[in-house]
Amino acid sequence: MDRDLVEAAARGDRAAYVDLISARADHLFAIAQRILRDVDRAEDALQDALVIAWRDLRGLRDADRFDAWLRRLVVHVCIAQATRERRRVVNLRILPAEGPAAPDALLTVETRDQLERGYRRLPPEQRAILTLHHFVGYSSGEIAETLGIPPGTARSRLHHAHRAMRAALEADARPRVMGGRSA
Amino acid sequence: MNPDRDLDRLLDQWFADGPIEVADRVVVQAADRIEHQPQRPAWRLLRRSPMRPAITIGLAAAAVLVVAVVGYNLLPRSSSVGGPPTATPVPTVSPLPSPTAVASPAIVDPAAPGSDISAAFLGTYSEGDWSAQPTGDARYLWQLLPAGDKTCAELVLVTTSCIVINRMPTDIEQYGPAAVVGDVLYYRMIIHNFQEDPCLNKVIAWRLGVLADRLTTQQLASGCRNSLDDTGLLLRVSP
Repeated sequence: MDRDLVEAAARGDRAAYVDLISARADHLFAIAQRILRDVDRAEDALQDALVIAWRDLRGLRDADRFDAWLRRLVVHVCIAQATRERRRVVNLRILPAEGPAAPDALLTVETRDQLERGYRRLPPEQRAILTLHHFVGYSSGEIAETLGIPPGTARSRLHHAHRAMRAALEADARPRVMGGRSA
Repeated sequence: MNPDRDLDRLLDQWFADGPIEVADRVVVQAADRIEHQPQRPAWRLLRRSPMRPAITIGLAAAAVLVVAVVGYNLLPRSSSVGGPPTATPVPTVSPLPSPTAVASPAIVDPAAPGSDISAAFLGTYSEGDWSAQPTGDARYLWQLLPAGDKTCAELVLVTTSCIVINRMPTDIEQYGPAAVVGDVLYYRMIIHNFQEDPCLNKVIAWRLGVLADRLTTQQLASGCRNSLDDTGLLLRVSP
């Protein structure tokens, strides 16, 4: 039972902790990859988050909240990493879409490109909000709890993120690849 | 068609695409890293718990007050140039109960003969197994924690020279010396009054304004009360 594993891990049982994270790693990685839009950085962020979670596990008051707690930790690590990345890289770099492109009439290559560019312009927290909403399926209340912000703020930021994404789709679809430049 | 719905569908689809499996090495590497990563004790994480602003301000004000009072009492008093000797104030922190029968506050040299004031919990437990109940000699009105309170379990040794809190065989922390006034040993404490978790209902000891450690409320000696009114109360151990 996971609760037993969480409690064992909190008592220092590393094997129990590895069991716990092994069962959750795929989902957490998928979240991290959606926020960061980069497999390598998502792996790094996930690994960091898993180590931090181990270090701070004794601070988890309710073992039943482990999943939400760990997810929140991953999201925060991703936001922090994306924020650092934004400071280093001023311009955008268009990356090829990762993973197999599903044959879907909705998502043409052009649309994907527009979404990708629009998404990368968003502040890291708004990316996390969109990921939590569209990928994890969180409501604005759950997003607020995850990010530690008021529900109204979560709703507002979700609205702004949607507006930004819509603007990206409506913008000129002409491909504009800007060179990466390190600050 | 509703453009909001369109965007929602697009984003749902876009987010659904992409990798959903992590490489095994990520978990393996994380497992390797935690082999060398100790876990933080819960009390250290507690310090980052959000507190109500009023409590925070109250604690900060009390801490400043305690630092001032104890700092004053730590001042050397060997000479009194320019006037007659004056009575040294008793280190009271309003609204704390004043220690009674305190004649001449002074810092006791822990090494001095007859100055040893100690309270000790001498416990035994198996390494890594906190189900073992510490047993020992609890003196001076101190008490061992109730059985089963694993996360709060601590062994405590208090002397005039230091306070030692031993949570795990490899996790020993020492703080000291404490101020000694008469036959009373004082550690500065700030009391957190968290209600939702009995393990968080802790006392935090302060020394010279630096967070030193916490003791559970069960470990408070008689005369110490568990309320915010007692902020700044010092651990009092009377032989």
